[in-house]
Amino acid sequence: MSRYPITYSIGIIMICTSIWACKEELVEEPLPENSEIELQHPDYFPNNIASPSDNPLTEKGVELGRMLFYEKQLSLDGSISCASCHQQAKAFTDGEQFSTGVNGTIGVKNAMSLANLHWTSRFFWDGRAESLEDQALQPISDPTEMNLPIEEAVERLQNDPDYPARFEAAFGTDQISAELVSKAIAQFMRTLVSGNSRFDQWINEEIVLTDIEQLGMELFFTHPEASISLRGGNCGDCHLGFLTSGDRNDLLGFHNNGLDSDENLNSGLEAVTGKSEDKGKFKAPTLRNIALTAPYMHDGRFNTLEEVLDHYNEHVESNATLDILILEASNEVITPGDPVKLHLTTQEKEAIIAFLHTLTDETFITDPAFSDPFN
Amino acid sequence: MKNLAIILLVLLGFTSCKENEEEMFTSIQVNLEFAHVLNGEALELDGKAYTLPSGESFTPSKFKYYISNITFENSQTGSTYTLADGYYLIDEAGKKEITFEVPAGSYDKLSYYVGIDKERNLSTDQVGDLDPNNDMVWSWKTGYKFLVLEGEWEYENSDRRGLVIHIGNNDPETEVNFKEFSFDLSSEGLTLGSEAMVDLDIEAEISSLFTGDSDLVVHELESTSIMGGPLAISVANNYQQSLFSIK
Repeated sequence: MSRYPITYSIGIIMICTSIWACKEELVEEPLPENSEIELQHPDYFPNNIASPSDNPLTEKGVELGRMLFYEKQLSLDGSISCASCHQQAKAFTDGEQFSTGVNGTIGVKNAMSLANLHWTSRFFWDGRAESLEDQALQPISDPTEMNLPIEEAVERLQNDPDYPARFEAAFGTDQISAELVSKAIAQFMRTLVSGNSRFDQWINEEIVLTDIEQLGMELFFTHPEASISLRGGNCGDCHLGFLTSGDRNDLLGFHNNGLDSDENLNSGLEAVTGKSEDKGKFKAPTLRNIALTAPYMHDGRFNTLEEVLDHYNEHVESNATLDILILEASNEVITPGDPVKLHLTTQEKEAIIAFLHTLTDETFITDPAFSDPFN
Repeated sequence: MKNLAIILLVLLGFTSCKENEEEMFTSIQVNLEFAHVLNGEALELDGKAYTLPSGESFTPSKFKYYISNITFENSQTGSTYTLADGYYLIDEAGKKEITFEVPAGSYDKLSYYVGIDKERNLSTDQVGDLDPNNDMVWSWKTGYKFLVLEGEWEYENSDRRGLVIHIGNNDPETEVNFKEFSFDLSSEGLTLGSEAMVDLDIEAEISSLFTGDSDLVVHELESTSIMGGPLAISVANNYQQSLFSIK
């Protein structure tokens, strides 16, 4: 307990110093070596979404964020960094059902892939973080992940010979704080834009898709309507548009996709909202690079895309909060009381998987700008 | 003397203001406010149940539609003004009021479409509320959904069922479900021209989707997802008759 007054005084001194430093800088020339940068992305991604006004992308901020993303000092025993579970070669996943934290602790959710995060709202499978800045710190302090109290993480960086100057360059102060750590990591994550897959090349009319990929794409984006013989795979109802990610509005990007019966349903979004109608709803992630990010679902229960397609086609559990766009989707006329089934043919399932492979972006997974800066 | 001259000038200025009020503003600010009701009851998306015209209990979860090609007309002179690039997504869970400027003038007729014109419907342009990544995109061949109503229904203790109505163009060549709505503002006493700002309150009655030339009995439908085909045409024809009214 005796530490607190001292920490408190240091805190006040730090605040005073930083206010004073700010004031002084207003008079001085702005740091010439840092500059704001514009997020580069395909023009068919939404162009009306700004970065947070209090955390614009800057050259030095992104550079710092990249270092922190790969910084093992941010885990308790110095053994892992963000990148341990978010590996570039696997589209920033780790290939495991559940990730291993420090001391061999196993987590409870599948590591999410990271791509095009600027165009998504709410982070984590259950949506508990409202912004990337809010998201960025949680794995550092999570006991099942990096397990390092955030105050200690800040202290380690402050005592590092290199980082204070880097924070100075990025944010105009060498007094490191949890907030600045989160801002830098969030900036780096925003630059992880995946927009050069074969699907993108097709959108830009640079290539044509094969017949099976083309069929798969049409099925992907079509909700089936058996009464008018319209065949569809029903994927695009939740994985929207060119981004193939969930609705950004409110909590509409969270869905119950029928993985479990009512008795076995995970809480999901309910844990955040406290509403029973949100039980079993999870974030619809982007499907970009999906062929690289096995295993699948929030709990990594499916090892292959074939298993995923089989789930949606014939193993959906009709539980109390199953999304109605899944409940009311079949390629065959169904009578009330029939189990929920899509009734896709084997060839149609293969076609959808072929299309999903066109979402793989080799440029993204080899881009040196996203790689480990310490190598 | 100098001061007196200024006062006189100011007074003259005020007088001329009053005499030529209509010409003192160059544009009229129009606020279109939409309210949504089902059977006359205000729409809520938080689990409240309503009764459909064919007797089913219905708990809505989504109601939204695109408004476009908003046009004001002076029926005496035939002159019209259409909002260029005006594509607005009206959403019970989002935006329900839109504001824009029209050139000063007298207008006694308002019209707009529900949906997107053929050219823009199949483009990836991000104009107004059009976004090829949003929840209103339907498929590559048919463009945007024009109107969406989703929810759960029950009839005489039936199983949980979804009602999913997505109205868009049934095929890219025809614009059969692209529907125009027009209103006689003069009969409502709302002719534009005398004020620099005007509020127009429009009510959308959702039961109009189910009644009209072809009454829909939801619990007798082969499928309660209506997404194209003849049923979508029936629903669009139904709502064209009486979806909107000026309040």
